[in-house]
Parts: sequence; structure tokens; C-alpha cells
Amino acid sequence: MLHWMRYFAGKAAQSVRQSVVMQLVAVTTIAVAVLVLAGLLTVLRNVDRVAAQWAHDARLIAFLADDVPPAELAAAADAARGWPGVVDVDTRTRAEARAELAAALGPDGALLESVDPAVVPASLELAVAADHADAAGRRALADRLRALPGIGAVDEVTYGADLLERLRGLRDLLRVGGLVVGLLVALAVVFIVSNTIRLALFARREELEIMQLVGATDGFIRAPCYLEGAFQGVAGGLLALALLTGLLRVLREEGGAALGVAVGGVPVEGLPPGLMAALVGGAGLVAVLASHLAATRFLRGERWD
Amino acid sequence: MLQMFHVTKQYTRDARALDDVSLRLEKGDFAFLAGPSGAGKSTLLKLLFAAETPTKGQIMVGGHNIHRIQRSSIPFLRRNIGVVFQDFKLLNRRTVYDNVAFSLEVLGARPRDIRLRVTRMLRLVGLGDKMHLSPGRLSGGEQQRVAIARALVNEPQILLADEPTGNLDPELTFEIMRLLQDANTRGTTVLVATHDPEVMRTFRKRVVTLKAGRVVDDTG
Ligand SMILES: Nc1ncnc2c1ncn2[C@@H]1O[C@H](COP(=O)(O)OP(=O)(O)OP(=O)(O)O)[C@@H](O)[C@H]1O
Ligand SMILES: [Mg+2]
Repeated sequence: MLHWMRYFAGKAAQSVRQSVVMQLVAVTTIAVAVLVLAGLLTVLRNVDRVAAQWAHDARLIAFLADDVPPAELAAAADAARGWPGVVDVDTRTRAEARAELAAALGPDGALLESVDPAVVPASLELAVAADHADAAGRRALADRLRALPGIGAVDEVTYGADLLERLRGLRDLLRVGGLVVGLLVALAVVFIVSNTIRLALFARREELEIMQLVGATDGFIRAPCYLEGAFQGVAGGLLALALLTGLLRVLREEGGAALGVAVGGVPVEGLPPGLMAALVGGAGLVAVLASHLAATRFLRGERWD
Repeated sequence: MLQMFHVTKQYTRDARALDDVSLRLEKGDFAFLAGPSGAGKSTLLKLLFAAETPTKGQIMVGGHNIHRIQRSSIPFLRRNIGVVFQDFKLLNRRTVYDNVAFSLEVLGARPRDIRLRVTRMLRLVGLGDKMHLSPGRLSGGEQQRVAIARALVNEPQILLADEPTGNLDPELTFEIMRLLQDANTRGTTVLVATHDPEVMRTFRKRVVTLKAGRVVDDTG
């Protein structure tokens, strides 16, 4: 069994050596194709993370009409804490709100002295869970807040609420795009691998015909093709990931600040190891499938003249 | 060992390469397949090693009906049949040794067995000292000896030769024919297509003559 494997590996290696340039072209093309997909997945992943972060930051603030006594405010907060979708509840008395605003204004805080205290109301602030942070979820929570005693007005303060919606739209678009690109990449890999292997088989056709003449089974001829295909797919996939990793590093180091702003302060993240392994494995698998197609086509064309 | 019953082969609708051919070779037989160019000699041999399928009729090789043979079983049939061609069909980018080792590699033989048997076979055909040359550097007769070594190294029960001496001068022709005869003496059933009357005169064996796809004479 072992010498068979060694034999097949030898044949595959020989085929690779016989056409180094073609192999390089194939591996590079596969790498570019996989890189496009991996890049898209990276963008998708980061958009996802930013969206999640923003959704997590979504808040609802209820401004209290009158100066509600602290006890009542605390009771309202306790009630809200029990609602589904509410992660946290914060309360601010009018004095606290005023102090906070003053701190935010810094040296200009003195301006507040001349302002009517009613402009800075007491408030109740809900941190909303990501799965309740869409428009409908926020509306439902706002309605519940309004039903509480002493609530004057409810403001949806979601940091970048419509940006978030748009980000989600973009994410959905990217998901569809990823699917399409994934399919295209698979097709490209099939095309490249099946053609290089067909050419390689064609270059070796004399040898293969003689192998068939002396009783080689189809499987015996196919096995090295599978290895060659797997090699191309895996090498292409690994090269793509290496390129992507390098690219991300450069981005982080060179354009780190600008990029950080672009993604809302969330550091850009690479792909998780599992997904990377799946990409490489997928490329290998698709390539093996392609070599199967190529070998089948070749074997069907057997001729003796 | 080899049997054909009323075999017809048509490559095209209007012409029959073989027409109602029946033929029987017993184990250990040696026969020539004679006839002019286009008579159907090569076609008959191709049918026997399942490179072509008959249009009509039955073919038995070593007890198996190869008309109903599965594509996947053809390799196993061929392991029992050595084939030699006029143009040798050797790989010039490989050594003589590699060319012969091929027959055993595809069987999944162990490297050590391959080494032993290939070396022995090449000595038998008188090429013990040229194992590591490219066949392209050998004379025609030597190249055909390599091809014969390749055909015989896994000890097939049947040896088919399609004008094995067609490219060789008379002296080499007899050398090659003697190798085929030796194989026959060791028990291999041999069928040789030739249109060289000199060969058939020298080696007095059964002669099956084809003409326009029909058997017109059979001295057996
Ligand atoms: N692949 C093919 N397709 C169509 N016709 C073919 C094919 N092979 C052979 N033929 C025809 O079948 C007939 C028999 O050919 P075959 O090669 O068997 O003759 P042969 O006796 O071997 O001739 P030669 O002595 O020239 O080798 C010829 O008329 C030939 O043209
Ligand atoms: Mg012929």
C-alpha cells in the first residue's frame, strides 16, 4: 500500500515538474480567485462586527417630563430591567445630567449657568441588545417606556441608527455577493485545474496509453491526477491566505488610523482559523473534483491506432 | 485460450473491417495472421485486447467473454495479454528499464520484485547491459526487444504481435521471431500478424489468412 502511495506521489510530482510554468500559473490564478473570496469574507466579517458593535451601542433615552422623585425613577428603571432586549438601564437625575453635560462642555461649562434647568431633564437610558436593536425592536421598547408613569418624551438615541440599517443592508448585499463570488471562484478553480490537468494528461498521453495497454486501471491513472489537483488547490489556497494576511498587516500598520475611523474604531480582524482551513480545504476539494472531470474526459477518449 | 465466433467489425456503416470471422487458438498455440494491407489483421488483434469492440459475434479470451466485459475489467484482461507493435511504442524519455518496469508498476508490484523481474527479463532478451539507456539510442531490433520484454515481463498467457518485424531488416527479423518462439516454448499462446512470407516460410507454423475481412485460409 505504501509503495503505491509513493508511486502515485512520484507520478504527480513528475507531472508537476514537467510543467512548472503551467503549475505556477494555475496556482497563482487559484490564489487570486481564492484571495478575492477571502478578501470579501474579511470585509463581510468586519462589517458584521461593526454592525454588532453599533447594535450593541444602540440606546433608548427617555426624558422625564417633571422632576420625578428618585424613588420613582429607580422603580421605573427596575421595571425596565426586566424587559426582553434590555441589556442595561441607566438613570440620571436632573443634577447628574447637568453635571455630565458640564463636564462634556469643559471650559464652556459656565454657559450652563445661564440656561433654564428644565432644558437638561432627568433621564432613563436603556442599552438595547443587538437582536432588539432593529427599527421594530426599538419602537416596541419606546412604546413600553412611554407607558411608564412620569415619562415625558422618548428619544431614540441609537448611535448611527440609519447608518446601522445601511450597514446591515451592505452586509446582506455582501452576503449575496460572497455567495456569487464563491461560486465564481469555484468555477474558476474547476476551469483552471481541469485544463492544466487535461494538458498535463495530454502531454503524457503516450505514457498513459502504454499504461492502459499493460493493464493500468482507470483508478491507477486517476490517482496521480487527484494528487496533482489537490496540490494546486491547496497551494493556491495557502498562497491566497498568505497574501491576505500580509495585506491586512500592511493595512493595520500603514493605514491603521484611517482604517480604524472607517470601521468605527473597531480594529480590523482577519479570518478565523476554522474559516481559513475551510477555504484551503474547499479549494483543494474543488480542485480534486476538477481533476476528476479532466481525467474522466481523458479516459473516455482512449484510442488505439 | 482465444476464440472468435462469427465476429464482424464495422468502423463505418458501409465497410466491414472483419466479416464473420471465426477462429480458435488453444493454450500454447503459435499462429500467424497473414493477409494483404487492409485485410483486417490489426483490427482482429485490437478486438482481442479490447481496444475495439466487435459489431457482431462473440470473443472469448482465457475463458472470459469480452463482448460483455465491463470497461473496468479491461485492465485485468490486458494483464493477461502482452502486445507488441510494429512501431514499438516505447517511451524515449524513459530508460529501457523504466519502459519494461511499467508493466509491473501498474500491477502494484513491489519495487524489489520489479527490479528482479525486469532485470531478468532484459537479460533474457539480451539487453542486460543497455538497461539504463534511452530506447531512442538503440537499434530497431533492440527497441523491439525492449517492447517484447515489456509485453512478457508479467508472464501473460497470451502474446499478440502486430507486424513486430515490419520495421526491421531480415537478420533482426529472425532474432525477434526467435524471441517470440521462445516465449511460446515457455507456454505462452502467440498470435503474430505479418505479411512477410519469408517469416512464415522459415517458422513453419499455422497460418490464418485474412482477405477483405474474411478468413480465406487456415492451415491449422
Ligand atoms: N479506426 C478506424 N476507423 C475506420 N476504419 C478503420 C479503422 N481502423 C481500420 N479501419 C479500416 O479497416 C480495414 C482493416 O484495417 P486493419 O488496420 O485491420 O488492416 P491490416 O490488415 O492491419 O492492414 P495493414 O497490413 O496495412 O496493417 C481497413 O479498410 C481500414 O481502413
Ligand atoms: Mg495493421
